[in-house]
Amino acid sequence: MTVLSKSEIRQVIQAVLPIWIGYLPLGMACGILSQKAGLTPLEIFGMSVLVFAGSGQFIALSMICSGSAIFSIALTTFIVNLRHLLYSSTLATFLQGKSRQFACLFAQGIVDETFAVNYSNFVSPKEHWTPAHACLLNYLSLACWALSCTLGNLAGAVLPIDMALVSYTLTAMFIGLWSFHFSHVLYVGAGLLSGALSVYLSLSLDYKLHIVVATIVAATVGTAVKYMLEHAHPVQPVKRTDIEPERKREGEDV
Amino acid sequence: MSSTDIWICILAMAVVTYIPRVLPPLVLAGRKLPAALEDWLSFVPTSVFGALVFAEIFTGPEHTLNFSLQNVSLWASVLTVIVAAKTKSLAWSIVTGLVSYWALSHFMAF
Repeated sequence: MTVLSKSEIRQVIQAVLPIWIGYLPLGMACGILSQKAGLTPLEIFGMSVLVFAGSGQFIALSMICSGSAIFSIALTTFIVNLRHLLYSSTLATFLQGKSRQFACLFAQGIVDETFAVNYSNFVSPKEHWTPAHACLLNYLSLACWALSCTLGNLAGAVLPIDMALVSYTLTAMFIGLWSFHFSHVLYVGAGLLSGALSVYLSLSLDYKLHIVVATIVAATVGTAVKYMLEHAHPVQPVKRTDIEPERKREGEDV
Repeated sequence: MSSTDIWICILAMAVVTYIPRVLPPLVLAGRKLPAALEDWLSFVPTSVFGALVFAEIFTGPEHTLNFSLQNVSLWASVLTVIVAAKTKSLAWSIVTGLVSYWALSHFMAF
């Protein structure tokens, strides 16, 4: 693995700063929730390092609070984190020539935020961005996330905290992450369809399965509609959101 | 959940989260995903977040729904969506959400 020079490390730290600023409050909120769910500081630290997925951890913790089965927590986590497959296959094109061990190490750090920063730096003609830069950025983000979560867990044990506000942090974060995908009316439509379905299905399904089923149905309907539209107007293909993130540098801070 | 259960749960979550992350660089080795799968996957994030947001706002405990106009989450979310769509910034979305939720829950509790 390439060793980065001092100035290259400084370049990575500049790129990771916005992520750190966002992860501190978000990780604290996640840590507070973990304390309410009965996790020890070591357990939330372990979860943050081994799983490293903000929204996935929030959902899993709220499911632990409500006494869900491990199988349904794992299934929901899988569906909620399936979007990393897309990020990873996009980034894989920049890892050519790297060893399998490097890929295995790199992969653990792929989340919404690191994908956005790494992808825009890889394609930017102004940035000299190598897989080693990207891997360091991933692990600096992971470290900040794990420490913030652990700190939140410790704080949750001693500070009186308004849990309604902490759990609303989660909803606000979902809205922010959702808005990154408002690039085309079809993606907004699929999200709204999925939302309506999940509310309807929540009446009959348990263990967050309404989220899983609504997602699968809405993504399938969205893909089908996209194909029909492209068939009708082959000159105007629907632009995908994920491959070209629209975020501004300042906007992608978490 | 017992401590053992929590660690089993964490390991299960770690495995199902790691697989989609590590498969593409190992299996694809530079090739692209089938176009249809890539299209379907591109709809997953918006669908996941749409489902999560709506469920957080409109569902209550034990299979109940909350369509009340006194629903603080609903109005805070309306403001957050507007700011999120304009700024595309996670930080601004969270700040807007928290401030409006806090303000509305005091303002609406008359």
